[in-house]
Amino acid sequence: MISIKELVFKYPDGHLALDGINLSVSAGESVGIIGSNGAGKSTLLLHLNGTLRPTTGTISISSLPVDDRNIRAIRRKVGMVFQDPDDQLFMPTVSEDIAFGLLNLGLPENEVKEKTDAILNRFGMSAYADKMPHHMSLGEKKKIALAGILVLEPEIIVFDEPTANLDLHSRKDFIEILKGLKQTRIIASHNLEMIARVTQRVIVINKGKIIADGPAKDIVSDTALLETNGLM
Amino acid sequence: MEYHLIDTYSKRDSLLHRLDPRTKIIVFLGLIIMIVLTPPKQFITFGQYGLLILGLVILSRIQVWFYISRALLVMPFVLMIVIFVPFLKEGQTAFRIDFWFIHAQVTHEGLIVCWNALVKSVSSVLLITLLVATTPFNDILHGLTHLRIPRVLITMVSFMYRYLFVLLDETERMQHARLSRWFGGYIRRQIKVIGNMIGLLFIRSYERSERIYASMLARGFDGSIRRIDNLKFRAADAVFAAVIVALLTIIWETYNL
Repeated sequence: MISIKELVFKYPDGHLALDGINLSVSAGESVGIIGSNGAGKSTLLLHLNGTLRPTTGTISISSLPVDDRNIRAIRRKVGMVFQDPDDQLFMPTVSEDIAFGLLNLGLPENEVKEKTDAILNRFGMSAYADKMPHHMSLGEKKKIALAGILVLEPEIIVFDEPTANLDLHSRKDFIEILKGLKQTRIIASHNLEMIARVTQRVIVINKGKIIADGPAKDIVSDTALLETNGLM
Repeated sequence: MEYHLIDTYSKRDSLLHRLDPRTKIIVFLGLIIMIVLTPPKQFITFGQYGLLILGLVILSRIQVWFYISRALLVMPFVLMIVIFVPFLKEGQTAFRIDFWFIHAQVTHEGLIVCWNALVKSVSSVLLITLLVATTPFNDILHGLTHLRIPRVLITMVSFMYRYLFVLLDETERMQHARLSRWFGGYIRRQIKVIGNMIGLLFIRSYERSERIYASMLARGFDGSIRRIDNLKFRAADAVFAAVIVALLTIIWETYNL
């Protein structure tokens, strides 16, 4: 599903953010990416839908290489839930935000409305359809951000710190939603408890390199590994 | 934090609220143009316009105090412009002010110019305030799109409205952080710090705009924002527009007499 070979990424200021990443993820897997701040998690995620492009190395999503020619197909396959929902909910109302991606796919309006209503209903948020995002709590905004991605039916969903700053109740809520998803999931976080509950496989990143890659329960219980990589 | 800036009453329900935004934009704009084109000495006509606006306010069921306080916000600017006109305009002297060292004369012509600017700006502001108070901001933008205002402008205003509140929150957090380490005094230094904060806010918005753009691209943005068309002209819109046109015709007839 996802295949990354010798990915190196240098920011324009010369900072080496990713230093030779090799990774392959198969369909339906739920993979956690953990690492301290600045380890390269977010940079890696932004490569998955072609927002950032490798300095050297290659990425392909279901055997389509990520390049300008395939970019629309790639973005159709890879949904991305950003860390700050305020960055993602840019339309004036909730329903318009969910409709944004659907309309970009060129779907007819009645179908867009149907799908928007259905996804809001599924999240129990039909009452929020005409609300403005600035009147909502962070937990609610996160759910809407996810709804806006799910409605596009991507094959892969990428999450950047899905539970950061959420209160206990919203976090539990969101973890349940994450567990219930069928798509291939890539979840970057440093919340080990959440990662242990929603992923089967965990990758540890430090200074732009993959340090460890294994079953979630082994990695989360390996205190020596976690400590040397600034995760405990 | 929750902020309600301009469209606080726009979610209520009344005849005026239920109208299509396009109807309201066109009717209110038409009214404003009529008022602006009326010669200043038609005092009765201005009185009729006043009654018409009062009628609309009653129809809208918004709180009169809220309405007036909003409309008065622009008054300082208008006053700044017109206040000196009666003294400067040449013409027949209406009355003189002789007080201590101040000797000034006010002319009839000056008063007319002053009245003209004042009554027209106040009525325009009253009408615009009424439009904004009875229409959610989003619907106004939607209506304007249909009235062929360039999409780029609409998109810019729409983003501004969405992120104004986010920026206000950010400003407030910075302000709290600054005040919690400020122990009084050193006012000049504080001004410098506030300058830095404004710069920082600019950089943060710039970075946020890049993240927003990334998230737009991630959902297939290709240069134009598409929206579902949910505006509908109804019978009420036609009736409302017809009544206003009829009233304006009556006003026009009495003016010609």
